Amino acid sequence: MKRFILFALLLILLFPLSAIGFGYHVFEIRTEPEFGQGVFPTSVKYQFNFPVPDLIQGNKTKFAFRLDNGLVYRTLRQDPLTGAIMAKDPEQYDFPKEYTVHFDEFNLFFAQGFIDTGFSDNDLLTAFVSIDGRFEMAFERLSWMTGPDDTGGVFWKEDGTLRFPSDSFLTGTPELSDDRSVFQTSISIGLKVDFMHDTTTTRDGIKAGLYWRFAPRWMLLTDGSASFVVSWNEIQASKTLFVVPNGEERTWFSIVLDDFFTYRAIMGDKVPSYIQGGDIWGPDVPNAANVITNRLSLTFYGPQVNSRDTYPSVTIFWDLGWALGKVKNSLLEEKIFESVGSYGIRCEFVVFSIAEFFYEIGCSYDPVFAEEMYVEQRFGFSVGI
Amino acid sequence: MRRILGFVVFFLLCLSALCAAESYSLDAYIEAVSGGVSGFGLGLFPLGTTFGFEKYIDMIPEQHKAEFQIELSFAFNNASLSRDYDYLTGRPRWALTYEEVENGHYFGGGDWNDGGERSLSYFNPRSDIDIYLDQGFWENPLYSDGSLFNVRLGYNARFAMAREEVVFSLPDHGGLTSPVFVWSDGSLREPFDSTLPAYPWLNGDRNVFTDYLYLLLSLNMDRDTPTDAEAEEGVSVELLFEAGPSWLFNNMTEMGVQSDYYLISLFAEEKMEIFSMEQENGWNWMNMYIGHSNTLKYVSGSVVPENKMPDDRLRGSLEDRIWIHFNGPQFMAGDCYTNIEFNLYNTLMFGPVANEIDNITRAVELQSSFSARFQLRLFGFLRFEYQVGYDFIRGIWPDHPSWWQNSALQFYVSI
Repeated sequence: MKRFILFALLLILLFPLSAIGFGYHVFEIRTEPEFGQGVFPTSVKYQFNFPVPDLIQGNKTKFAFRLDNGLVYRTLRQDPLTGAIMAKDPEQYDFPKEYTVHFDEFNLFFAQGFIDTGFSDNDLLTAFVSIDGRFEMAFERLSWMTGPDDTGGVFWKEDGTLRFPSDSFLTGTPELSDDRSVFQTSISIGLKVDFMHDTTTTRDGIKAGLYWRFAPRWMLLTDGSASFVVSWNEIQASKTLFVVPNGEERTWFSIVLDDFFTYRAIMGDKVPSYIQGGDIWGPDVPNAANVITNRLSLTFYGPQVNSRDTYPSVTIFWDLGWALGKVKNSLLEEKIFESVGSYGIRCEFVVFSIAEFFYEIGCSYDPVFAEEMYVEQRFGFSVGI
Repeated sequence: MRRILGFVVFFLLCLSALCAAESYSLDAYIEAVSGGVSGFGLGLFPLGTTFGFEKYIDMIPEQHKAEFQIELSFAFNNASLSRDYDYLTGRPRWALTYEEVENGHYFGGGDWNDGGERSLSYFNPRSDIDIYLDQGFWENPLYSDGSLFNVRLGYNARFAMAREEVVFSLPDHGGLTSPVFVWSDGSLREPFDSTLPAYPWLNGDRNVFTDYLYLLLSLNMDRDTPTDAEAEEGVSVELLFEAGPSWLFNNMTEMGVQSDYYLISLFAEEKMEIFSMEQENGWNWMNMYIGHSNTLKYVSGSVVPENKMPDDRLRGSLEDRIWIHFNGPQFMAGDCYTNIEFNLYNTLMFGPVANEIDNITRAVELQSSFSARFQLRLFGFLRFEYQVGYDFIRGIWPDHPSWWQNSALQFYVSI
């Protein structure tokens, strides 16, 4: 019955999209190190834009269907039973924490722009509303049960018994309860401000976004594994410090200073991992009611190799994160004020904007709780946008 | 793997240099299908996606622009172990007597279920990267924007894994009592604890990397059909060479040589419109065309990879196909239409058996079948398909002629 309703919903969503001809964008292509050394893609986010007339002349009206699907690795950060933050007592949780998630997320959204900036494809103000749905299914990492050293996972101990009960609700990780799958629909609204002059290797201006996503347990078709309301706010400011142009469209060399700030506030008693946010390089920002992150970076762009989308770059970054307030998904009713920090360098060579060759090294100088400081480096090739 | 990485990067850098200083347009497409692993995506969301990027480059003056394309794909669904080939010798079941089969080594046979009920199904995540450069020459007489003759040079790389079924990591092992590849202590189960010459993709850690280069020469004298709702007409011929030798990074994993093969294929197709009726707005009301094609194919080499294994593992095949195609009216939108197609296939397969160690089995077989397919396509997103068929002659398989049918509702996207 659920399948039928879901199919009917998809059908209803698709029927208004019967306009002839539409374009699409690929936003993001992801890889995982354990799958083909991170060379081959494992998930992709793409969007179809349906040709609707602009409701306000000179400002964009957009009606689109976005689909994000594939396979990603995720790290367990809270005790599934109690919701205790594992990083507070790493020795108690000495087992593999990475697991695999297959996911599909769709968003059907409508956006209307206001006020033409004159220098950008985007309007100064854009308001949007969307209907969203997300399905997830979690299982052990791909290397699990491939040899005597890989019998222990997140869900199964080395002796073949379950690490966490499968017949009760898991407060710390609601999406991993029961059959470890979740289906949640939601409604999102948002407002974007864009006053950024962006030419890939130069950026000047500011842009910001305010988003709210409502996913209460009473939403249609949800399976009850999640219940939350999240407010996501971000602001990016950029300044080109130095540029050597190469004709009108390309540059030989440029230096750009960026600052990217996010604030996420979340309410609800079942907050699934996919919405928790707080991603910075290195340490994990704990899942608290309020999460703030900031990245200050300086990027040196080399010559655009005869096309705008092929160029080398070196980025020096400094990441900070704070978790404030009540820990979500926890039985312990604890409040925290925890800061984390890292810095590093990322060098990359982008080819046609769809492939990149990169090396990055970073230091987690202010790790979360009892974790130890560490330096990590990665080298590889990946497809991406 | 670092050599692969180096090669891919080098290849891309060469291409970036090759494509330098050219203006280009960037088009893209996506194809996604549902179905597959039980429980995944509720059977509706995509398990696999294919998408690509095209760039058009002026390479030869007064000729069509060359097309540079990168196509990426991934899929996460199950595969099944075949019971039909001895995993130690590669000897096909149909070439042996009953006693020989009893003493042979086949998946699912003998003490396969010792230790609990053991499935033949396994999780098979895989991903492909395909890169090619296609240069057209002269003008297609039936389509002025198309070229008469095309030369395509490409490279294809695939990574695939063979793992226990996903449900095995779910509570109660998802109902599976016994894993396929390993014991509960992680040690390899028979026969995966030794080399399987007939199934090289199941050796060792079951992480497979294979790649090949290909050259496709095609002659096109056919009409453009942008939505598949138009009647097709014309002639096309394709000659394909593929080379996946061991030295092309196919021998670098601990699993040994994963590919060492060469393939040649010749394809010819002729189509003719019988009638076509248009609506006032230019959409089709109804049309019909008939077609005929032949495909001659031969695979050589000591190790044929899983994705290039020919039917019944016989290295050579000659397929003859005759079909009649009806397109129904386009309605509501240009990409909403129905079609019905009747096909008659005759396939002659011949030659030695691929991946057989001593290379002594040879066979010739003929398979004949009829099929009828109905499709309803809606908005470029939904496809309902029903097929019914009758297998007249089953070749080496001792089955009686029989009817079959299947249906599918697919969510797909194709631009």
